[in-house]
Amino acid sequence: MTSDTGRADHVVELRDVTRAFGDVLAVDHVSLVIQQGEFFALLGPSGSGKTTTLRILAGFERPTSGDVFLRNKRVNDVPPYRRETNLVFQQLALFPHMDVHDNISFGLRVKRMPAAETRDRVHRALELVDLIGYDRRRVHQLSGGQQQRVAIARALVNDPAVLLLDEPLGSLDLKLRLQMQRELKAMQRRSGTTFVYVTHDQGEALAMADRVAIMSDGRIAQMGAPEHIYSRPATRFVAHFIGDTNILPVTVIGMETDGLAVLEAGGLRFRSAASEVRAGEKRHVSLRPEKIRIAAAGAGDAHPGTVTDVTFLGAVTRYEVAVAGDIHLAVQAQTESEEHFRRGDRVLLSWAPSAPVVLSD
Amino acid sequence: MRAVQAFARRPSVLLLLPAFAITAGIFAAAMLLLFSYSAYTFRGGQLTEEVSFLAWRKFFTDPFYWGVVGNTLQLALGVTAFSLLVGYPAAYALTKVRSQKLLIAAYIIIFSPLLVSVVVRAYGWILLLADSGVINTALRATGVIREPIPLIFNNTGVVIALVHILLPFMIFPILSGLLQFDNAQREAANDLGADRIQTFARVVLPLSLPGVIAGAQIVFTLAISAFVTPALLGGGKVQVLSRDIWFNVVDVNWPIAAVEAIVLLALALSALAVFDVVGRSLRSMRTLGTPRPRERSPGGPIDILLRLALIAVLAFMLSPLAFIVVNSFNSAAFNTFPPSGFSLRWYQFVLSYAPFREGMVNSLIIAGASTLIALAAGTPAALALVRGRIVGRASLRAFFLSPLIMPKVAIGIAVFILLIKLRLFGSLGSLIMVHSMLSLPFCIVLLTASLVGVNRTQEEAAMDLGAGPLRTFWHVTMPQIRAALIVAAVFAFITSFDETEASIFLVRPSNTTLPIQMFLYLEQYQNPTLAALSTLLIALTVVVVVVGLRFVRGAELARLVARGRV
Repeated sequence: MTSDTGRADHVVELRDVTRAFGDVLAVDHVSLVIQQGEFFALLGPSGSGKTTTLRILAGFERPTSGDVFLRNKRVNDVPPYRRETNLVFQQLALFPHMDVHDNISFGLRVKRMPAAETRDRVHRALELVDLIGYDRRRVHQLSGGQQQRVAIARALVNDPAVLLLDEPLGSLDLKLRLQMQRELKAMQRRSGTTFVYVTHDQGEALAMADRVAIMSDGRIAQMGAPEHIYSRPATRFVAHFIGDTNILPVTVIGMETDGLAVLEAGGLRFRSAASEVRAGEKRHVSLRPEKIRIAAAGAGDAHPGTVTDVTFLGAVTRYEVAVAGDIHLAVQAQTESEEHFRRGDRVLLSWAPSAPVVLSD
Repeated sequence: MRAVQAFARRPSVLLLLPAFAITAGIFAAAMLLLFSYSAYTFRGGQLTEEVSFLAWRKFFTDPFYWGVVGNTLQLALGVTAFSLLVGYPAAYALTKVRSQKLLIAAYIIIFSPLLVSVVVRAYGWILLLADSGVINTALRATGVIREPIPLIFNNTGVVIALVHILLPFMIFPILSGLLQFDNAQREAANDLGADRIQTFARVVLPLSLPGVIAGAQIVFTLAISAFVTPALLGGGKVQVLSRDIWFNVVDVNWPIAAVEAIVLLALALSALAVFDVVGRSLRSMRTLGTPRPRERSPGGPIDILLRLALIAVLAFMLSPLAFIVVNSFNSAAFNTFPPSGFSLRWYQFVLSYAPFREGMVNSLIIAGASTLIALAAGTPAALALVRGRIVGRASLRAFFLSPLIMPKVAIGIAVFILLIKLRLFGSLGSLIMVHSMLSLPFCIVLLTASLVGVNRTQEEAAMDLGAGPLRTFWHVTMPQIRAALIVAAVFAFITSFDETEASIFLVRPSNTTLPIQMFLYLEQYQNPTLAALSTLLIALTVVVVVVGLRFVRGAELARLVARGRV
């Protein structure tokens, strides 16, 4: 294998890719590897560089430096129309002057695929997205969800090495979005195609992706399985971006013999299963609201506080509790639990040592 | 008091009244009269009001008229085809110009000839295309040809000059269609494996067809009814309907002229209908979602070719005007190129030549007065059309705009008959009213487009705060449509000042407007006098436009242009 090829079984590899627009680095030294059959999500707020990364993969942007590999071939200089990638556009970009069939078969027709095979593949694509019988509909006669499926079928029918999706569900309403999420996941399983999915909606990424890369300011802040990122966020940005959390500035007081660190935030002293800290260090911890137990009375390592706000959210109730040293903690409890509290109630808060995650910044 | 009450109950009716009176009283009445005259009899050089339909019978049985109709259509088709061939690449190249300054310069060059009288432009083409004109002189000097190529007094010259005049009408709809094009469509085609040429052929071109159809529709309709250009550049050898109408009016054979005008009108309406049907089948091509403009072009030889095409088109648009200016300083007594020496004698002659001076005064009076009338009638009408609760709003609007689709020559002869009947022929006042009628549709189109953009809630807020309808209009509505008012005024003024094709039927040669004096002069003499006069007029137009646009912010203008496309 020569030096300009990536490793085997990688469908996609970005090696130290940077894209500059003038002085701004939209993508800043990004490296990542995506495996065959993976559902990979690029998650980040707008302007974080996720769409630029996707467009570099599709070939619409050229990296300023770094290399892009597709199926182990360097494709930096390959134009979009010669790449084995297909993109589902954010605005769908269905061709309004063509019907459903002609939209889906477009890629096959420009490649001059024989008619019989084209028919076959279009049929299978329609089947995959559950639009059999819609071939001759005009695209503006379709509902938003149906247009969405045509866009996916139009890309998938070409049997791409990677299917790239640029916030494809952004224009749908909430209910349809949830339904399409399930369907997309099912389509991905059925087709076995590698998906790279760009979104700013953390719920979408967590629900569908096998692996997530969280982007911020053109860099990958953290990459891994959704559960891992959720439970072990690496940075304050990631902890904030994924789910709801309490971020507390802490001072490391010392280490205990069982390997737990003793941390102090304001007047609050608690233990954390953090290993890479030194005594005297100032750090931040993330403490998820649902990891905090709230009780009227209790024993052991509990912190007294006063309920300052109650928000009913359906299945769960969110409390805001003032604890020692002017710290306010968000606490989330099952609404169905036995104990309910009102504003002004005195309560005790407690959590396991595994709950506070020490962050790297 | 009763009027005030009526206004309170049905304010729209009063607002519509002036515009309705102008359109119905002049335009509709004249057209009806035209129809009745086509049935009358012309026998032995005498016109009688005897209903015989002789003219109709003659028109449909005499092969001469079929030949004229055939040549008119052929010429219009040729003009449309060449305009498309030249206009599409130019419009496409314009979408690739990145520098704002260059873009504005290109727009000005393409659209500026619209502001210059057709007579002036025809004269410019005579300078270029004549046997001793710029092109033939240059070709002979370089030894490419020995004998001059006949570029003028035949269909070639007429087609070239008409393409020059009508090209903006082709470029504008195509360009605005291409600017609406969603770049995501292009990227989608690329992503699916289509290269640049395939993408253009399968996606960009089909999606730009509505603009092409719209452009072809305007160009064809204007080309079949053009009068000044075929008359001057055809030199009597190019037979078209409009020119035959003119001859028959001069011969007092009004019935046959009326028949020809009606046929011309029928041709224009059929063309509009045919293009409409084609256009409607393309309606489904509108892009879904918000279009995203193209950020940059891939470059390469295609872009270089497009840029060259654009430069060639810009040179084509500018050249007649440029050579007019150059020739105005020519010391020779006939149009030669290169000029034999520098002289200001033609300017001296123009300023001392009484017919031009009188024509200028007449034209300024007519243009000023008709602009004021058109605005005074058009503004309330536009207000009523946008804000009022009117029954049959669409048909009323169509009625107000109907003079736009009528061939000017047909309007000219129809109004001519009307004025003769009313014994008002030849008066300055009648010409002012006719020009108001011709400018009114532009004013209504521009002002309704602008009024639609004015937020109703702001007007309601003003009324809630105690302002009556007039104060609300003056303090809230008017400031927001100021740009449209100014553009409409400039447009109306120039329309009237340059109007030739209808007015030529409506004036006595002894007391006439400037463009008609020029037309008559150009039919007889070929010396740089007209170049000097045209140069002065181009300068005047520039002044009017610059002064007018000083009061309009660029953004307002852009909004107006964007919304102005129908």
